[in-house]
Amino acid sequence: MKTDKDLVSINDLSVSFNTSAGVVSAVDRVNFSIRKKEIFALVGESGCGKSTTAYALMRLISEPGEITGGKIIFQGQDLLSLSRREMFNIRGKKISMIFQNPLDSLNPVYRIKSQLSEAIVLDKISKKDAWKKAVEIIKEVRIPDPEERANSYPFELSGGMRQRVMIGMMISRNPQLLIADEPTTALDVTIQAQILEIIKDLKEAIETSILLITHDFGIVAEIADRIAVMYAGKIVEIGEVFQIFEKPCHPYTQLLMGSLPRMNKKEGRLKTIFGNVPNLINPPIGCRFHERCPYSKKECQEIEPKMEEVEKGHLCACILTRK
Amino acid sequence: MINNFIKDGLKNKTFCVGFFIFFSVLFIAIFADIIAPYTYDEMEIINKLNNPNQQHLFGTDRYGRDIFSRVVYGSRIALWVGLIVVIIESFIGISLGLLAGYYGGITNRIILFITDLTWSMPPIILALAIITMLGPSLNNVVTSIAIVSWAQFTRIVRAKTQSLKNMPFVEAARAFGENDFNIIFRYILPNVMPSIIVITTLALPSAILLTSSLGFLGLGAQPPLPDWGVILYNGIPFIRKAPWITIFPGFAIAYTVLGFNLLGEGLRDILDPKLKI
Repeated sequence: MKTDKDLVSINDLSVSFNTSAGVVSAVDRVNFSIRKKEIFALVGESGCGKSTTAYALMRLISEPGEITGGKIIFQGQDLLSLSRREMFNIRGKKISMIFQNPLDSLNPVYRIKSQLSEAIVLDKISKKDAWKKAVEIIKEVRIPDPEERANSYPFELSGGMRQRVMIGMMISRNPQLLIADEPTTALDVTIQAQILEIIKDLKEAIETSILLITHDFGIVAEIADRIAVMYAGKIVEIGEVFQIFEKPCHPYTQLLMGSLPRMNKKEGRLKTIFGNVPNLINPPIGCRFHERCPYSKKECQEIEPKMEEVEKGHLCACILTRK
Repeated sequence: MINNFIKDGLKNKTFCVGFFIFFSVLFIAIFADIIAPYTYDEMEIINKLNNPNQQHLFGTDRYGRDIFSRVVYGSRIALWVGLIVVIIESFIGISLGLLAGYYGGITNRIILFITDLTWSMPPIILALAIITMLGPSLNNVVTSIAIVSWAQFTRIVRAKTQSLKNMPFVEAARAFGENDFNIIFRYILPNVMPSIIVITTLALPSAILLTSSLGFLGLGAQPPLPDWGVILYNGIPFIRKAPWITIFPGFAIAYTVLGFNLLGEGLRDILDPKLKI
């Protein structure tokens, strides 16, 4: 599965949180890799560990969380073996991240211009050039009135503009991987479309790979190349977008697809998935989805399914698909 | 930003009164040489214990020194000591607060322990103990007050830092490769600044009060320096015969401390309404 095309490959990554109630294994032996110049979407419901995976990639897991195992191979080196100091050179320069909440993602006490140039100056460019480049970046992310906006404080901008500034800031140093952690969640639908458009275009322009974290299949269908579906700290299915949308093979993916609102079908109520997300302090033995799965069998409660190829490039972790 | 600040300031009466008093004390301290008709240690034995009159506005003490001039010059000592104390204690307090809040863990525990330790002792007693050790002088007063009262800065800066360090913009800064030093000084400190300004203005009057108290007890500024506490103490034996010796420096202390407190409270309402001190 490993090829030269891979930019990052994550092998058996586990992250757990030590809470007073017990150890929560938020991410459990996750494997996937992101190819060069692709948009890779990590999909799943709240609390399934998708953001935690992204934070682990940046080595930004903070107390009480801890990366308990695995490897993150980025351009031939294991990020988990680097020192704190070496990570400063990776973050921003090679891997950047856009966050969920654009409203609080900018430092409230500085003007947009000085914040952008702050990010650029890290690359040892003179202050004057950095300011010039800052205005260019604002232009690039399609904010009207770039000169004037550059002199604004964050509170004077709308949420969409702030997210655009954020995107501009994160791509200003041409990272090879951009992590977008639900970049459009806090924005309304028209702005969402614009932001996605910008992300897509910039990806072409600076030839970066994007790890898109979302719970919105609509966004995924629109811009992603490949998808990984995550459930309760594990990846249950990986494949190309068309493979997952046409032939979802894991029952969880099928149910998720079934619960999407459709324009062309007349249905009464939206379908939902029965039950709740399992408690990750004591995750269910066997397949983690067996309690909610309509096809569940006795074996599902005993055997932990492995990722197996169902067709080329399409992997699935369910014992029912084996036949 | 600054225009808004002035607009808010004019609307806030507490702030206006406080600012006026602060400014008047500052003015008196700067132009003490012009305002005071005599020097602070000029003695006219013939005119000892005079009533307040045209020549001596606040009367004279037992050596015939002019109380008005002494009170005016006293403002210099009060402000100067207050200023130096606040600079030292805010430096110690802010650095420790930032370290404890940002790094957490064992650093936090150790700093919190020391903070609680100084916090748990009555400031005047601790200051007395330190001065007795170092010997009475104005410099030692500064040292002891700074040692006694830096903890208030640490507590508030630490709490603010802890909440700021989890703000998305700090996380974003980390994500684009800022190191700890930059995050502390460019992201956290500027956002704690409003609270620091407020605590500073409130720390100043307590420093002045403590200086006067130590002066009154004979451990601070040594005669003939016109520390307000010293003048007050010198007036005690004559409190029935010549009450003006104690009344005027006492009034000066109250006026200054009240002014700074009002200023601090006004600033708090303007800059940081949620801050509780």
